[in-house]
Amino acid sequence: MEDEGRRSSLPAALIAGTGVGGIGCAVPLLVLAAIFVGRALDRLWGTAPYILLGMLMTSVVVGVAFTISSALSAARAAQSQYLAGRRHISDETERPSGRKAS
Amino acid sequence: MKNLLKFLMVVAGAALICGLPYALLLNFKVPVVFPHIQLPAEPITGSVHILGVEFFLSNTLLSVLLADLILIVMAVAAGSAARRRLKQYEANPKAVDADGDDLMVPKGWLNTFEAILEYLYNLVETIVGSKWAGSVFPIAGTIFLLVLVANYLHFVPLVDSFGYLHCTEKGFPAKELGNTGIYYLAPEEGNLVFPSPSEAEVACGHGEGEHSPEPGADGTRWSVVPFLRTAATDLNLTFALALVSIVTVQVLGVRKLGFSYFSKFFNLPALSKGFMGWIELIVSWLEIISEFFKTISLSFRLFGNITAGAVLLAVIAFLIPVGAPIVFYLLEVLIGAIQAFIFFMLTTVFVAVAQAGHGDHGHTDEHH
Repeated sequence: MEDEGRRSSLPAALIAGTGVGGIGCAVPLLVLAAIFVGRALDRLWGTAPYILLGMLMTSVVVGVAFTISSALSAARAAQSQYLAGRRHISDETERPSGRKAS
Repeated sequence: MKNLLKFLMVVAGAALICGLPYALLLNFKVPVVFPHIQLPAEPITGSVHILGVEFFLSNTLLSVLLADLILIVMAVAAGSAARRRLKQYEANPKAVDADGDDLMVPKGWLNTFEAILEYLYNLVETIVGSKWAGSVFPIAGTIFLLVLVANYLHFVPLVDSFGYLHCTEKGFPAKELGNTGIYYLAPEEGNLVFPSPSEAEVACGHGEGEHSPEPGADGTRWSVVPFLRTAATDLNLTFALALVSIVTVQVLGVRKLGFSYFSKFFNLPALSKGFMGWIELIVSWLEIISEFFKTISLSFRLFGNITAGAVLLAVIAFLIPVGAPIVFYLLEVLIGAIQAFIFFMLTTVFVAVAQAGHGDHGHTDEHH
């Protein structure tokens, strides 16, 4: 039973890890996209480097906001999972004592 | 054992995802080049002359503006969440949110922001008292949040990797990435990491009448001037913050004690004590010097710590690009927060000391 639980929780841990890595990768991807698009627009309109700088700053703000919101939602999910687990454990421990009382 | 295995799996997953872009970069032969370290902030736009004074946008100033922008977004997000919950509560005081919790209980980002501000406010209240906490907190708290966010901007990936190319003899050849107008530094074969200025055919054209070459031209060498650089690595910012802090201290000292505050610097009433009074007058002049040195120590402490950290990270990322920087990044996370907190605490403590006044020491002495 315990082995089965371990088998199911390890892939979940790996998925959680890739999720954490994914959050970290979102910011560089956003920054890269902003740099390429900003540079292309600057070349098109001859406004170098102002559009690039604007897009770089916007991408960092959006990236930081995304990271914080992802981290908070992950924490909320972990907290609800933890609370559900505790509720399950307390149900399990209360059941035998209930039988004894009856 | 099971928890350790789980932890290792999380690390492996994160490393797999984060390592992919790095592996791709290496595959495209984009190595980590020797970092270009420069103390003064670099201009990133053309300069404007106003009343004979040259103004330009520097990379550290842009970082401060970015930190301001992030703080404004954070504050607006927390404020709008608070207003939304309050509105719902006023409409129906018995209503609950989607998770079934009371509407007056802050959640998510609002909860985080409130916890930080509440902790800081309580700390200020403990030091200067509840009457003056409202006056000290806006300045000290803003300095803390600005310095913290500005320090942590250094950890946003790629932020200080992009910039414009500056022609220099201690640089690397630049190559264009496709036809994008974006260049990257590409060390020569057999000399992958260190620049070799002695072999370079420098053609930067810094002389009069010479034209700057295009990136990618043969024999030219370049270094990257980043668009964004950690703000506290510029002494201008740290000195400006220290000035704000010390001026606040003086203003709040005068507001509490009136003009008797200045007796700390010019202790003329002590002259009635005769010879010892003259000594006290001279000692009071030393207080003026100490105020100047408070400004200098505040600014140099922050500047020194953050600059050393930035240089350390750049050098470690160059020497051991994989794995080792993580340890130093963790260290810098601590240092960034500690330095912001020290600035905040010192500002608050200086206000408390200034408001205690010169007379309070006298009273204490009399009582003892």
